[in-house]
Amino acid sequence: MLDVQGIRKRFGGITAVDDVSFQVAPHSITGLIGPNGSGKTVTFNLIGGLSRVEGGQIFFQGERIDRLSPDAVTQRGIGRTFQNVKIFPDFSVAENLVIMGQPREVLRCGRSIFWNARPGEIGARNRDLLELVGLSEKRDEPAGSLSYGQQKLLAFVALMALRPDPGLILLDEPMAGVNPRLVTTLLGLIRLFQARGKTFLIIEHDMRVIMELCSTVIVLDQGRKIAEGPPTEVRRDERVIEAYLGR
Amino acid sequence: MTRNGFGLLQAPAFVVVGVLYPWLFPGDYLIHLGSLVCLYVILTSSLNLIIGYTGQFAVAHAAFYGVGAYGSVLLVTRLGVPVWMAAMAAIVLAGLFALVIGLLTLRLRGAYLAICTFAFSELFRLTLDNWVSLTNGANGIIIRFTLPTIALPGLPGWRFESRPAYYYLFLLLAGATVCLIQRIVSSDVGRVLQAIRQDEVLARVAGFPTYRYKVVAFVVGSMLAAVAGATYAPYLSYIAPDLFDINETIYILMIVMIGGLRTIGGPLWGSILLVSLPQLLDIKPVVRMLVYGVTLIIIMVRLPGGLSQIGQSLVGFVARRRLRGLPVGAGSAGRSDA
Amino acid sequence: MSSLLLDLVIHGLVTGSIYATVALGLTLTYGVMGILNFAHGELLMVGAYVAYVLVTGYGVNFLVATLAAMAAVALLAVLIERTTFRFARNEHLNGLVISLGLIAILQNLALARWGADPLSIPPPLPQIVDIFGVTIGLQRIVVFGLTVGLIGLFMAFLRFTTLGKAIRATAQSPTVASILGIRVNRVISLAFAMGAGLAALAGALIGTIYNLTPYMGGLPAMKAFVVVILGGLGSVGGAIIAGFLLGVAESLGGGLISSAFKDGFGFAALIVVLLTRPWGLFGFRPEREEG
Repeated sequence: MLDVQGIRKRFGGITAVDDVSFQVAPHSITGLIGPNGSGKTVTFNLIGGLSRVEGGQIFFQGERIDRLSPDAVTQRGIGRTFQNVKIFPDFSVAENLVIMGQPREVLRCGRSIFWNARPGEIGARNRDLLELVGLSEKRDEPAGSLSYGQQKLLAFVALMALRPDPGLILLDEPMAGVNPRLVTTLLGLIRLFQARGKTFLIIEHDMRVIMELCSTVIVLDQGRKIAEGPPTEVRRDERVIEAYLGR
Repeated sequence: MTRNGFGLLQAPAFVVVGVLYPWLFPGDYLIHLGSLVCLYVILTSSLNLIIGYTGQFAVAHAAFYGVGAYGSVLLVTRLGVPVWMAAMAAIVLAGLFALVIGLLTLRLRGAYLAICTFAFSELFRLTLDNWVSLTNGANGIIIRFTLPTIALPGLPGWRFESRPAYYYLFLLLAGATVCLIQRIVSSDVGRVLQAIRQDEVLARVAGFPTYRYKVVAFVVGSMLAAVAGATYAPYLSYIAPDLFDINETIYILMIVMIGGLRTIGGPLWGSILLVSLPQLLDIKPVVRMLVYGVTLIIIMVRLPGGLSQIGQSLVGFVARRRLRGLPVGAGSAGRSDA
Repeated sequence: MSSLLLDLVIHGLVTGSIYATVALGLTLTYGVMGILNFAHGELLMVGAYVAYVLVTGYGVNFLVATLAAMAAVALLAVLIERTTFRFARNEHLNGLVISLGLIAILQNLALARWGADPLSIPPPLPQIVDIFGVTIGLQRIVVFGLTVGLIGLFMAFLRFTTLGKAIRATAQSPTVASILGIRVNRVISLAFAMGAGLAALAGALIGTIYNLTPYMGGLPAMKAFVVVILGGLGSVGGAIIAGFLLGVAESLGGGLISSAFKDGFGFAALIVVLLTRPWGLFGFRPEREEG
């Protein structure tokens, strides 16, 4: 589904990502791990179009996407979350979902100026999504007033409200700063949506999560891929152990 | 979440008071004041769209107001273009300037828009001051034409020969502007604009071509300022470069911010209070600007949460609170995880 | 023809040195504080008026008056920073609005005190001299010498002194700087004060060549902003070089093409730069995410 070929990216004098290649199979959950500064988030930025690759190519469902702007990438069917959870703080919880589902083109949105200008109605799908994460009661509250964990849930579920339906979901450290009970909830959600047909690529530091969820794990260190394979294999790989410990 | 904070109750009240105003407050001076307030409602509401809702810091608003004024006047006096057509052309011209500036800068960091609109504003004033053969320089232009009569089917024409006649035009335009902005804000477009203000990166990642939306908001807002200029010039009978410089933009911005950014009622109440009070109390412009300047800074400093909190500032806050009978903003502090 | 050219270039260099000074002050403020100070021109204006008062009211020697003006405006800047900009560190829009409010306050204070009639500072050196066949007021030479000297001093200060390095560090990353033990608050105040002092210097010097009005700051500020973009937002060297370039370009354009629209050349250059190379001569190519 996602085919990353030899991507490269430098910042100033530092090579953040150096000749990284990997593939993500449809309907799988793939993990992307590595010590801090190994280029994981940069890779996400490159895939998502927030950064421009300086070498190599990225293909999604056969189509080349590395030259596209972030909004175009999302419209092709890739959604992502951020390490520091991003939601629209002044919008209500419901509105955070509504905006994900509305038309993107200026002209199509412009029609709603002249008729149908009703406040964002919350359709059945969004209502279900909120129920799923237990935020139904909060739906009119400003998203900025939610707790960190609730915001993470909201950000996750907002991706599912995206239209067109995203096929690939990039999660950037979904478990960071989250209490154990919420970890379980999130694990359940990820599996649920995998069953519904979605593909996940997850950056994580929490090894238990990686072990539980992922069928394949890719390991980066200082911008290079140093290992790839099932989690049990990767865990025993010497280079991986050295990368995490040998500093 | 209140996106426009302007209840359904307020609208008819404004309309009624607005229409009856010349009877309630007769006399040339007061009616002129009414026109002035309406003018500023247009200017502040349109600036609010750009800065308040979309979060784009553009400071050339008075220059676009000036393009509308000088543009239409010059087209009439130099090229003999019929007045209403000249007004339309001037508005389109303002839109073109805004389009160029927007296309050039809105792909870049916000600082670029701020700087370029600042530069454009100064350049516009300079051109007005120095291109004397065209604009009569700093002396300004005395306007000897009025708006031509508008033919109304089945009714006597709308003749612009008295203050009330002009007043109703401005009232109509102000009302139309507020309506338009309210419709935009509560539409899908408005939702995107507000998303852009809150977090543009997130808006892009959510699939929106934010660049286009920003340009649209900027152009629409700027063209509305030109509408104000084109219609107000013949009424004022005199235009000069110093009516359209950066200080005027600052004044408009002050009203928006003190009245309540990002609300529909803010520019309304702000214009009503902050434009008429100094006139009625006969406060000199120097004093007025000093007071407003200090007030503006105090507001900026006392609301460290930033502009996102300013939707609750002074007048806007009071108006909405009274309207809803509720405290504004449902603050649910630190609940535990789900 | 070649002496006309030389004439234009030399006069352009003088104007350019003033642009460079103002732009340098602006870049310093923006780089360290992260806020575009639109009221930078008003600081220039205050400097001019302080020098004016000292020279004409108290008969103070011009050089001393200029230094005093720089100090006074620097103090004013510290006051402003502590009471206003400090609270807008993380919200850029707030800082911009504050700077606009400052424009209104400073301009109207000057208006209230001195009115709108143009004033001028009698130049201490009104003689005309002849350099390489070009006639030029000695005052302008002095202006050039002073500004270039101060710019040079300042660059050396930035590069070689501890404080200068602290400033550069803070400009790159305030968080890291504070971890390194730099008193970020002080550095920011200081940087702003120095930027303001440079503006005041320019103001006092301008006052001997052109007129003083409460509105005199607008045009130099606009030029400074254009210069800052041309040179690259945040680049100190870029601001200086672009300042001189603009001065010379304006002079050449004004003399050879059209004098009425001298001020428009900068704007034209701005448009060209934005179309082709928005990060300026020495800026960094921004990541798409900054777009």
